[in-house]
Amino acid sequence: MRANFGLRRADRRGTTRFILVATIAAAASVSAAAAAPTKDSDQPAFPAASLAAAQKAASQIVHGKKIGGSVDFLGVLTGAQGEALTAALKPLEDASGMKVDYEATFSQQSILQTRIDAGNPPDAVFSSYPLQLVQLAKAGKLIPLNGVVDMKAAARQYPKRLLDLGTVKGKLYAYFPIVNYHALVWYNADQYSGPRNPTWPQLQAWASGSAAQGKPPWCAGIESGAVTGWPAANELLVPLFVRRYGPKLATAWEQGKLAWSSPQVKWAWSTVGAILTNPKMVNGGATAVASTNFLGAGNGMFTSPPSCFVLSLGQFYGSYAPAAVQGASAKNVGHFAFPSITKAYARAQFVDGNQVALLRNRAQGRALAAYMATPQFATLLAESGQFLVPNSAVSHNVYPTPLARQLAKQLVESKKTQAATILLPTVLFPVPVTNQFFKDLTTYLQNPSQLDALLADMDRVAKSSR
Amino acid sequence: MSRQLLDLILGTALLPLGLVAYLVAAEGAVLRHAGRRAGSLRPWLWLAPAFVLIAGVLVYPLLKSVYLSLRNADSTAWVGFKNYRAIFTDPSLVAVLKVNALWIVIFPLAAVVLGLLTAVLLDRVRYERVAKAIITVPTAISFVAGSVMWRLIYTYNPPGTPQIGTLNAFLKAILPGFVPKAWLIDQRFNNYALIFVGVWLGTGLATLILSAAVKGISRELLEAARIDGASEWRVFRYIMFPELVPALGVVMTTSVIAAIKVFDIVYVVTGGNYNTDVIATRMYSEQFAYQNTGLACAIAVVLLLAVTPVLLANRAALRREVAQ
Repeated sequence: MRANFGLRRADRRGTTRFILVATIAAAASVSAAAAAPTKDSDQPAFPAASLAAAQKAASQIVHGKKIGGSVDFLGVLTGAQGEALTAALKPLEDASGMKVDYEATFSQQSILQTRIDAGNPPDAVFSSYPLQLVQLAKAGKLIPLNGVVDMKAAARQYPKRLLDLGTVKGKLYAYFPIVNYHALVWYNADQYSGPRNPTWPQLQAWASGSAAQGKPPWCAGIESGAVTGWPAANELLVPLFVRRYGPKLATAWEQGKLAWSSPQVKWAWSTVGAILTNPKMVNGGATAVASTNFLGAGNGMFTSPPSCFVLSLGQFYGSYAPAAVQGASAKNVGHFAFPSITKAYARAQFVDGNQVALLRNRAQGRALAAYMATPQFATLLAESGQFLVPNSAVSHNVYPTPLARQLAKQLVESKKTQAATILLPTVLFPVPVTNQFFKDLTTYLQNPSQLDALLADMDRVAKSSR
Repeated sequence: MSRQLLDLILGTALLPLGLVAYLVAAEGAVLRHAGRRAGSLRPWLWLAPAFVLIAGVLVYPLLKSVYLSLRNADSTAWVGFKNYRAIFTDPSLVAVLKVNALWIVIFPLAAVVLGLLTAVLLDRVRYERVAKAIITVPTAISFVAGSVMWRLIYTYNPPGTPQIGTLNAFLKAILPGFVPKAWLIDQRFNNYALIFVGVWLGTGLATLILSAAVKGISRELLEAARIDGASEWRVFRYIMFPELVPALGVVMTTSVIAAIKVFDIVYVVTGGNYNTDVIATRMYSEQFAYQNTGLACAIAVVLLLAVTPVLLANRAALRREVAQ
């Protein structure tokens, strides 16, 4: 009896221990996940009228038929953006009876290539990498969209420059339903006393003054997991290069015609280095820049006293900061365009975005590509507050925030700014070049003396990627 | 019915059913036709499905990797041993090998020493179960989750700003005048910081294996030695330790293999930046970031060749351990 009792007690202890171990492990992983930056996961609520209009447009695309089936759709957007996208696709599902199997992954470009090589491509992609789509179109892997989307409407509604990026030999293979602005300079209106809309020399003069007073002016953070380094590349180095040398030289750089070791590219690297490795310009210098996640890079603008004053980052920061940064609100988060250097290139604005392309010629895929080109779908995306849509048939009034309304106005309603809209070179370099760029720039900021060796390394990678 | 569901049914039901059908048919054929040769034929027929599986998922990919490792980045031309030469001559790849060497030396040593220490010392206390549970908790956490936790623990903020990272905040609280350290960026200690994550996640398993071995040592033997006047150190040195050697061999070789193959910790915590790249993360980035299939495959082959002798030693150690 005693032995029996002892055994049961041992059993109980074993169970208790197991529960203890499992609970601690679960709690640890949950808290780790919770501590990582996450976005609001609420599904956006669309106005009923927009939903009805989208459903009507979808219904017209499938000629009122319930085609059923499903479409295999590979993308890169997750979190709140992924949810907004799938919510905006719901009217198509309701109208056609088909299911959109949306799968998002950060390794989208490799997975797409692997699946094509394996003979198992998805029906459609929502790609953030235009060069890959052009290469696939040239290799005959994409379905032309000319008979699929309403070409006349597309030509009327989408900026020509953006359509051109998905056009190969006169046929449209991909278009951008959404774009993101990069390199806007953010500040805290309650603290920032420097010039608004300055030129680069004006901003630098103010920055040097601030640095001399012991107040590091720049905020910066480049930590971003496997792609650490991109914020310094996309939000500072590339804008500096384009503002000084213009889009044409940027294209030459993208195409491997301008060497990385050229004086122009080297100037951009050293200018970024002079800011980000100087503890007087950035609080904590290169080490702090490297260890700060890009999402937290601007936190110092809203502390008291502030530890930094200006931050160059994408449009998303305008909605991210008021929602996630303590002390930031829609009222005090201000921005201006990246400062001008050469007058002729002062207006260039930097975007990247996501393109829709078809890889299989199936009715479901065609319906998806046609629906995503409609202004009704674009309206839902704009109303979600997660995206900018470059569709001129979508009024800027449908955006939920003043910032988005203003950016949308610039993007689609002004021919002048439209003509000055360029895609970030980092999405137009071959994949290995872009990845090496982020990595080498990260290394450079830790070891500024290695600049020449790193640029030579970039030239080697660029050459072997052609 | 969705495609995935169909695949699931095919995978879980039809595959085993097909296998059974094959075995029944093969067995029937052997009984009917083979006559006296049945005895020698039967094992091969039963083993055939396993051979086919291994050939398909192990041998074929292996041979294909060797083939691709001799070709260029997009596998369109022969380059001979160029990729292999690059691994041992390209400065950035040599740096990777050096970091791996650090892992191979420190990680197993730390795991074995800490595992042995906890196993032997815990054997002597009443609260062994609780203590062992605490030490093995990290083993229950996935490497990725553990790495995310440690990335947050190691977080660095410039001096003069609030320290969000647990380690810097803790050290600052207990050591007056402590200057926060960039644990993951400063190349004087960032690799050690990463190896420590591995040790934290891996010591529990070493403790479990060694603790079982400690329990297997005859109590009478230990008591006899103590009655004869042997000191505790001599009991450990001359009785316990020799008995533990096979188990130590298992732990050592398992840890060396883990150190050679380490990927998730480095990938999650630093992404291989700041000179922390190891051979497995480099293999991944060569394939997926730089699209250099030839070099990625060459690295994979080198990785396999490096692991194989340790794997054989591991098997031998396991056999000794089981025999004991």
